[in-house]
Amino acid sequence: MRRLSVLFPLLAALVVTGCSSQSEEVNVYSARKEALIKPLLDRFTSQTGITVNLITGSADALVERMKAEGEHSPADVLITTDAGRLYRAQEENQLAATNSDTLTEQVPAALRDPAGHWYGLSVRARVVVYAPDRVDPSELSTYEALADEQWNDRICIRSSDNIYNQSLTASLIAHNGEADTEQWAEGLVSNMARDPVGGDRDQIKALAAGECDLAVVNTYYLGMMQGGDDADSRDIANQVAVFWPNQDGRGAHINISGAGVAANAPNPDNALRLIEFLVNDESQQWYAETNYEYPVRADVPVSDLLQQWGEFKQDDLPLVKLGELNADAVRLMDRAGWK
Amino acid sequence: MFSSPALRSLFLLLLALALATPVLVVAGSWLAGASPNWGHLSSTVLPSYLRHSLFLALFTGTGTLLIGVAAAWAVARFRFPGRRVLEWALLLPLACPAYLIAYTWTGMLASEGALQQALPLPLPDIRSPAGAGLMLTLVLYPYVYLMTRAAFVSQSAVALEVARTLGAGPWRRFLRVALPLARPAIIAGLALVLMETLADYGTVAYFGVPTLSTGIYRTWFGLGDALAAAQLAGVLLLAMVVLLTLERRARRERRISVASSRAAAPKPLGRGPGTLLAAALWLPVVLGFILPALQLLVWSLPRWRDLAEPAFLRLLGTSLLIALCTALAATGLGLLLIWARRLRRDRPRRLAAGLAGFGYAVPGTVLAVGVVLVLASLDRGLNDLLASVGLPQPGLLFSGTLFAVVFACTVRFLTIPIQGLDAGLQNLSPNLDNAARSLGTASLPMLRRVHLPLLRVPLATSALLVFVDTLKELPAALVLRPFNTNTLAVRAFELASDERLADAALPALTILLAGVAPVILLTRSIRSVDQEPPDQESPHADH
Amino acid sequence: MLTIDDLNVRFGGQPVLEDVSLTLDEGLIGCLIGPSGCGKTTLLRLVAGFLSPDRGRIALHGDTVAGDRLLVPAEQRRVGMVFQDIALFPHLDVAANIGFGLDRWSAPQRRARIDDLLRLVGLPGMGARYPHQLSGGQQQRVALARALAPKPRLLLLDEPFSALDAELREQISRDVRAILQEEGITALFVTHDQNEAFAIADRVGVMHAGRLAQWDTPYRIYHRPRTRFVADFIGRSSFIPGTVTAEGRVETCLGVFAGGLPDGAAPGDRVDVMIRPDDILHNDDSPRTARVVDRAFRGAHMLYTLELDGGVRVPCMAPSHHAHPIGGRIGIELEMDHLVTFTPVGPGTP
Repeated sequence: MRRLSVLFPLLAALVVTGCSSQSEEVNVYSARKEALIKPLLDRFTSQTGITVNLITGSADALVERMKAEGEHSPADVLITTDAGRLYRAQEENQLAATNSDTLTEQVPAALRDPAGHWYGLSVRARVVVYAPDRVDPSELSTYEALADEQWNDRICIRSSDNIYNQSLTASLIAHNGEADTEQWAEGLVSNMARDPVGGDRDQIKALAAGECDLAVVNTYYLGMMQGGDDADSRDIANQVAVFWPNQDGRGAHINISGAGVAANAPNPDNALRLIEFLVNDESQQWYAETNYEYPVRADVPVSDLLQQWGEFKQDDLPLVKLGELNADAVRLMDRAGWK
Repeated sequence: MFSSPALRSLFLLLLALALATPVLVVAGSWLAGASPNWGHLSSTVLPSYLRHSLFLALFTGTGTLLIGVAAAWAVARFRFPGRRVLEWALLLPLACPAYLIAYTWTGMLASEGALQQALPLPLPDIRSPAGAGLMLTLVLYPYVYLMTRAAFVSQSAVALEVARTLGAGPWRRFLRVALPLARPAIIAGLALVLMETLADYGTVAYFGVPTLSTGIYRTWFGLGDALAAAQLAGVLLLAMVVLLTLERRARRERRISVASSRAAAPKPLGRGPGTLLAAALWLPVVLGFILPALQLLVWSLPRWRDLAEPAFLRLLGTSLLIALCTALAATGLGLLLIWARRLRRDRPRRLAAGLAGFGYAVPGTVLAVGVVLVLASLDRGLNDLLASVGLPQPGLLFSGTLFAVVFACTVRFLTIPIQGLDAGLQNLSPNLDNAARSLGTASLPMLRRVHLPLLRVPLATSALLVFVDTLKELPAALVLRPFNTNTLAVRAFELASDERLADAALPALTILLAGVAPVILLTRSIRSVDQEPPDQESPHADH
Repeated sequence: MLTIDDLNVRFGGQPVLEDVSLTLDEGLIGCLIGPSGCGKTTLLRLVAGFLSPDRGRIALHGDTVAGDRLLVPAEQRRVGMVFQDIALFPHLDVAANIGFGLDRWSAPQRRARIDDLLRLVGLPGMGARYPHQLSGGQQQRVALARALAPKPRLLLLDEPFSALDAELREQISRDVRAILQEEGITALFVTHDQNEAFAIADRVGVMHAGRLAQWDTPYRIYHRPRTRFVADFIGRSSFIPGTVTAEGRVETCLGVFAGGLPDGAAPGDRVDVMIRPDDILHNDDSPRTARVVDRAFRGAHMLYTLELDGGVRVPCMAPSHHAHPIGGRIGIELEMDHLVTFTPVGPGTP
């Protein structure tokens, strides 16, 4: 038995060293699910010949792993699904400051770290969707107004566990201060048609089924439902309409999926190349067409489906703020009783 | 090897400590002083976490108790149509992880799901604390069923006959004789159920039920406070320790109460009541396995060609490899610790066997992080050491390979062979050892010639249980897997949590089926134990 | 031959064996008896090597196996053992059980020895059976054969017949004695059945609270108990008061007798005289009478409890064909070949 337990790491080491072959490679720690990122990575490999090694997982678990692995961490690139986690990774000294003209030019300043620790790759907005037969869009205005009494028992929104809601709340704190935001959250909670349950898609389904009249969701979920293969989902998605909040003011709340080069990256050059690849025309178009997201580059057109929703003004709050205020947001949501 | 037994004991204790380090790391988080967020947590969400965790524990505990004990009694005591099949069919829900059942049932009951389309009435939304409790009950009752059935089957007919002569009808016989005698087994099964319930994350997260385990994740990821999260995990750990102690005490009692004379023959029931009973017993199997399996099958059929895809086969291969390695490692280590304690019951060995079983009490992700911390430090240390003497550094040997996943799963499931082999060895009179020794057999030959042949059944069942549990394991694989590897559980989870249930169906179904085969083997080995002749235990106590 | 010198063992601070010494010559059968908890099984396990002593020495044929800073492990002592719960290996058949200790022998030699032993214990041809297919008595014989197979220097038996029913017990214990004597085996066994001990053993040791009260032939144990405990424990006995006379004899209500006196007994001292049932004979012609207060029919004889004048009660064994009623008086006569006396015990002494 003792012999076996020594055999494992040896065998495993063989596997690892065998895998780290002579060819160039880059190691990606991704919080984006494999299906949403692998096609792009495969294209990168076929174009550059650099092998991509991928692990997916929750962003925080990945960051913890990078921290624990320390200077021997094989991570080259960290990809997350929101800005808050990138900020946190930066705070934990897991991201390296990089210099890339390509990235500085193509990624808007508000959507990247000024010192080059991370860059946004694609944009998603958190919008209000409504049932046109029950709600007149003139009744809608801002996120803040969602706490008004007229929406009592009429709103579907997912749990406060979700990073997107936390980021939204953080943005409200940044703009309006904690006291007002806490009041807003309390109002929102009393306006919820049901206790938060399920993901964004569930909120859309509930809206279509009549359980509520408004829902707050990320745009790409709606996009995937409207443009997907499943006929039932399409039907449901077509029953709801998109409203862009705060257009008269600061603009709709957005978030990014982004990436940064790891602090202890063994292949930093390949890492930067990968990130640059992800903001090139092809990749950005892929984000637009296949993932129903908004490209981070202003010059890449959005998909037809998203165009249907119209143009909108984006909140240009530096996304760094979302990360800074995340913990406060969570505590605030706890206090307000947002489950 | 080591010359003196005392030195060997020390080695074993160190081994157990090494296996327990991830747990100790979590438990040790409290030494850093309460996190500053603790005040916030305790005034806002902690009461809710505790309330819901408690509710779930009560709900699941009661549910599994009722189903498990009733099913065990029915199968052990009566003869009715379909009994032979039901005996093992009742174990089938073991093959499925709770969160998969949760996703599947949600899909089935959803407005566009099959059931809702078929029925005119609106079906209730299952995503509530009670719903979560129901899911967990369906998946976990086999633990109680398994243990209780074993107890009922081995109960002496004499005790029940005595009760009959004293005028006790069947109901009273059950309540006053059979049930109390089986109590240690029931408690053991119940403790396992409660530990799994408290540690569950996938189901409660999906259903939106805030419990201690979701709280841990949220505190960690949302508040960014790993310390507070570890401390919450410490609270959970405390509950687990209580349960584990209960379970161990119950197991010790079991040794005394298991009688060894002949077992009672099952009593045949009439057609009517027999069929009714069978139908009632099939219900948990249908709800907990057959319906979800059918739904997954329906969802998978359009994608059946994916089965031959190299990507899928790699997935399957990795999952099976990890499960196999863990089963071997856990069973081997468990055997080593329990057997060594049998040879010499000194304090280090007893402590070692006790410590090694604690991994079960730690929720998956917390354990995984503990493992990362431990193995990564090991790797760093190793690399630094080799660097300092000028040798080439191997990089991440332990934390960056499958070793980490196998290690984490071994730590988590080590309690299964430890319990199983402990129980198995307790059935063997110490005089068997003494007889062998008086005939000139040293310890290792004795292991080979006496213990191993007599422990075949507990060894096999432990290994199978570890295999199945590892296949289902999610958090550890999620956090610890190396590059370009994926397991069925991770794939199913990622897809399902992305609300792509239909896509998740194929890996989910595979987990289910891969878990069924060991479950069936498990039943057959149980049956062979029943048919084995009664032990040689004499009525006189051991000295 | 077995030698035990000054053996001492403590468990958790409590003394379990104190200053136990005995010698068992080769070819003899020894037996340890005593009440529960007296330490007899512990002593057996020490000799087997399953326990180690705190102080003292155990030697087999002159070779020290325990003590003098030496501890030979059980598997190297060549001491065979038969256990109370029989402990046959359930996964092996009878032949494999018996041959378990012969794994270093050549196959034909092993086969021959197994067959010999099967014949010896009266189970020829049963080699292919499994333990669960045998009766209790047969299992015990197999256990004996298994222990004897490797030709041990000493055979230990721990209450070997207690799992069998009474009739079987008597038969098998006689058989075992015959087998042991035929093989010339030195054996030590533990029992709580005195009749068994007296029937089989050449030497009997009475143990009490961790001490060996007396190690002697059965006859002397019975007729010459050295301590009051042995007198009480072995057989039936009762005590009548007596006084030491000037000539060093003992005067009792049943007469004056000569015999052993406790150390330091002076004329005028009170002593207790041990009476065994066989010491009091029924004699209708005797002038001394006693009242029958109880009787128990024992088949060939009747065991009466008689009350003497003065209130002392004594046992009396008489042929049973003449049954005397309770309450009646019968003539008795004291026939005591050995006088055994002890210092009287106070009311509080056990």
